[in-house]
Amino acid sequence: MLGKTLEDYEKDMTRCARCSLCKWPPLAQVKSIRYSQVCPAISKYNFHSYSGGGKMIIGLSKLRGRVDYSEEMLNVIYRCSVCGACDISCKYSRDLEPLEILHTLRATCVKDGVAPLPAHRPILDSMRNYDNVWQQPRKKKGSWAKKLDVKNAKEQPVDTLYFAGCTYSLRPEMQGIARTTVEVLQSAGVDLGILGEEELCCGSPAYTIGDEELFVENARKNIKALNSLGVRRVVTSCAGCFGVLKTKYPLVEPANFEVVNVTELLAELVEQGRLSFSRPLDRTITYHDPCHLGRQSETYKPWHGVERKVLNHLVIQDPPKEFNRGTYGVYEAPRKVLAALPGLELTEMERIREFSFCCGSGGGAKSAFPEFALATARERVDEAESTGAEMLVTACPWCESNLSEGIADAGSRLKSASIIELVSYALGGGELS
Amino acid sequence: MLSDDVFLELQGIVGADNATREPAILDTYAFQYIAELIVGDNYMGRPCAVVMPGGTEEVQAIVRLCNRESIPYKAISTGWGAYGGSPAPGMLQLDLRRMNRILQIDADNMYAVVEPYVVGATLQAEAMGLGLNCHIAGSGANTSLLASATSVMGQGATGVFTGFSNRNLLGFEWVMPDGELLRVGCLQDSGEWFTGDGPGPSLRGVIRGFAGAFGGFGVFTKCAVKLYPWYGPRALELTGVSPDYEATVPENHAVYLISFRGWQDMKDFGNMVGEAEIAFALIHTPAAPAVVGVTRSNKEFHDLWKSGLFEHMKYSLEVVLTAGNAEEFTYQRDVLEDVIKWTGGKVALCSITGPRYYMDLAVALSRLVRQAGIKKTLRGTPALLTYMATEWRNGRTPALFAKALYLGLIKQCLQARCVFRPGGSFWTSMGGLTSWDCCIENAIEGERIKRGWIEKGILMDDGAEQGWGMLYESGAYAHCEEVAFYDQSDPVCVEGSMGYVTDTVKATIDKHLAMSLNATGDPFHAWYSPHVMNYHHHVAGIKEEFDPANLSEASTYINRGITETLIKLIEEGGGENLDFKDILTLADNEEAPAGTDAGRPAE
Ligand SMILES: Cc1cc2nc3c(=O)[nH]c(=O)nc-3n(C[C@H](O)[C@H](O)[C@H](O)COP(=O)(O)OP(=O)(O)OC[C@H]3O[C@@H](n4cnc5c(N)ncnc54)[C@H](O)[C@@H]3O)c2cc1C
Ligand code: SF4
Ligand code: SF4
Repeated sequence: MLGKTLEDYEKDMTRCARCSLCKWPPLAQVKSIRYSQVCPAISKYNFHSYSGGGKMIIGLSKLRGRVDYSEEMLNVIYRCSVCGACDISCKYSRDLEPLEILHTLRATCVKDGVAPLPAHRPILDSMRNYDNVWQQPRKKKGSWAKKLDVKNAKEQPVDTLYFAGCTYSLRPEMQGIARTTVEVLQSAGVDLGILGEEELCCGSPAYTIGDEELFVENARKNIKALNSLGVRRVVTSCAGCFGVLKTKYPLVEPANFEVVNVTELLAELVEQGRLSFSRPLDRTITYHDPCHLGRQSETYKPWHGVERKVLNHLVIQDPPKEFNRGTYGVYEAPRKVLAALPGLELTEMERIREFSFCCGSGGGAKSAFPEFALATARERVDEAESTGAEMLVTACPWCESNLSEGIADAGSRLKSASIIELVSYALGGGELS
Repeated sequence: MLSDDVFLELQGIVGADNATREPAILDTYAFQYIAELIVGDNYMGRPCAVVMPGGTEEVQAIVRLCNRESIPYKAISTGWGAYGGSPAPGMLQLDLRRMNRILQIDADNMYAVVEPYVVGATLQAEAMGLGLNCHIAGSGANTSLLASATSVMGQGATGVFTGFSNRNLLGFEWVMPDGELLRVGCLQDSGEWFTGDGPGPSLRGVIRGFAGAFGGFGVFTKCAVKLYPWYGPRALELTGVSPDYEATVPENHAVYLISFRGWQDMKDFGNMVGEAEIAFALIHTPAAPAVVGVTRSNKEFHDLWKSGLFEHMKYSLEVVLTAGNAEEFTYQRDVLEDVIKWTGGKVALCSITGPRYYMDLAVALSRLVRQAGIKKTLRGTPALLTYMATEWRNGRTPALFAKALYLGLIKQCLQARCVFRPGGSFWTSMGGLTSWDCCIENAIEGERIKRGWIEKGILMDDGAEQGWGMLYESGAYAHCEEVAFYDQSDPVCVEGSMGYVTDTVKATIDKHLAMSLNATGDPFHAWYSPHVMNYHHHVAGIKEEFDPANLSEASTYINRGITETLIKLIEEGGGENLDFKDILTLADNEEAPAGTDAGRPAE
């Protein structure tokens, strides 16, 4: 939650049982020893401090003045992809908020002036100066769509706005996916528009790194701009954009549009028979659930209540608080789309859906600790390989790019792809690697 | 304070990345639930460093270094509980997380060789793939099998079939308190792991005693644990999304929740089913944690609990049947149903398909009318029915509850939810190993004591329900512990909860019930030893023989000097009035720094 302090979470932090459940998938879901870890950070660094629970304890120690900032402490706090797996596993059992505390701890570091880390500064500066994370001039943001025949949502009324996001807009190796997305959606008759060079960064990196001020500033600008368009919905194909637009923006200001992920929209189109697939894929694939599309995409339900005790010491929230436990993440839509593609066999990994193992790139981990991001990707690639699949499919540019690095580093035979590429291929367009 | 030189040496042993003196990291080892009751703070003593050895040789090198430098040390596996730490700062903590391999599963001889960080969930997953299963302690599938087998208690829900952790310990590898390596059981001579005894005298009792040495007796680096047949699928078929998972109850398996008219029927049922050797699990879960287990949040629990009906489902047992074929299953089911009939039990929930669910619910309600009275039932029923209707609308039928119960019992995956979610923390007491009949006496007494502490506002009001209990080895022995919930962030609870412990300990002595399950550490020894043949002499003698420098941190094991001082204080100070918290404070004051020979008897 924005604007919270460690004090606000003192009780939660004190009530951590140090049970280590946040290191495993929800226990019922452990399927083998090999893939039994769910937290990338503790998987690599091992000290308890690296787990979600460990970071809660660090938060408590900081609050109680037991420890002071040090380089190692900051390493512990930031060698974490803020993937939220710990949060789901903890909330399988508890009414605590580990992920909120991880965010608050980072926000406290930023407020105290010890963060962002040097490696994060260029990203945040780029957001401030260019409204994108890739240090590119604003003008370039629309270049990906130059050859497309698509409406500018600022100039013409549209039903649906495609919010491409910084990475799909600006990374040359990713721009094709944004174009494909537009083409596929248009072919299904979606009345689509884009913002081109006027699209701003969603603000996600500022949020995950802990610069709440910058995030709020960004979110405000975006909400205002998007509200003014009068669109019914905003569709994103970047899971990171989707996550903040859907779950964090409501914390800042009300929006007059619905936020959907492209996989949800595709599933809807498939169901309505508006996409007909003719070309068989003849492939076995496995699907990686991006954290921000899956467990971290639950609609935010504002709660401003207090904690109350009943039955002497039963702790309940008054008014009742709905905990985001990952129950209602977007898990089915991408699978429905994949199931509709001819000749495609989905073989699942062990860690999926709400307890998916992160790709490793989020939370500023990739920029500040590339070796950690790579190790995490390698772990996921290993799991993907174990399914016997030929292709590792996902629905997020950050995941795709980091997993591709993992594949290359491992010398794996796996190919990586985005769902939209498979859809486009099955519709008869494009080629797959 | 660890000198730079010694720290460098430690880094040399485990690698620079696997040793730390960073206070923020050290604090994540000092913090433990229950610490607030022991030291009055959420943190035990901060260790001087944490090291993560990668294998036995590294553990040996660390222990030898500790002996050379007189540094107290203690190992943890997953590190859940204050007993993994020390009340005093400055101890060296060995975190064995990197020793996480299943070294062998010998399916023919039905055992597995594991390192310390192998937990119930991982071994079970691998063993089930081979048609086998393991005993998982009641702490849950997130805890170490080795820690349980070598060092800590060993109660678990499937004990009627899978025994008790100490009985499942076969060969093991032990870095003794001075750093010497001993391979125990046939391992020493044959390199095989299939027995933990001999040739020569068995050391299994020596390393464990009653409850285990809780890290105060060197470091166990590998052990073999017994495996049991698993007559189920290679993996359970799961449905649902967190926090609601259910497992398909496989063919020839069944789960029952049975309620009884009173204690005597429950006693008879337990003994008969144990003797009949038909059950895979036979367990009593108090109503409050059971209802916590099937609800998603405390709020949902409270709504349901308010109906008041569950308090009256106190005489209940859960049974799981797992048969290898239809014929055997029919036999097990028929025997079970006969025993239910003989003991006047009523099936409240059962996984065997058919219209039975609805009948069972009707039976359960009529039973509640009888137990709670018509008025209370009528008052509570709307809440219950509203809950059930909502659940039904969401697809959670009684059949689904049965599947969730089955999953929880087989996979041992709901413990933390059941005991930590309600108030934040819990304490358990009583629950020594004894006959099932004595367990019931325990439960009755425990309920009386707990009610008093609930009335004082110290513990959560769970209806003062009696304890969590189960049978072992076909009912040869049993345990029933008195679980109580409190809020560790609330000074009222922190101040008062130890009084509850004192009362339960005194009751076990006064009423000749079994020794408390966690009767280890000097304050417990001081209460119990004079009533049990002054056993502390033997335990302290063993400790001193193997650990003359007293460096294997023993605050949850034994320090003769402290135990004896406390025994004297209890005798002189009108022990009856001395509460557990006072004793802990005295123990703190008395504690001789490890590494000296204070506390040892005069030569
Ligand atoms: C909620 C809860 C419920 C519990 N219920 C039960 C129960 O029903 N039945 C039961 O038997 N126990 C129970 N326990 C106690 C205990 O946690 C378990 O016995 C558990 O199996 C120990 O595993 P661990 O990974 O938690 O061990 P750890 O916390 O790592 O260690 C437990 C103790 O063993 C010592 N130890 C660990 N590894 C080694 C080693 N390699 N060498 C030497 N010493 C070592 C530690 O120093 C510590 O004192 C419960 C604990 C909790 C928190
Ligand atoms: S954060 Fe939650 S799951 Fe992790 S140790 Fe604390 S209570 Fe357990
Ligand atoms: S957010 Fe992810 S990486 Fe960070 S502690 Fe939690 S599980 Fe580990």
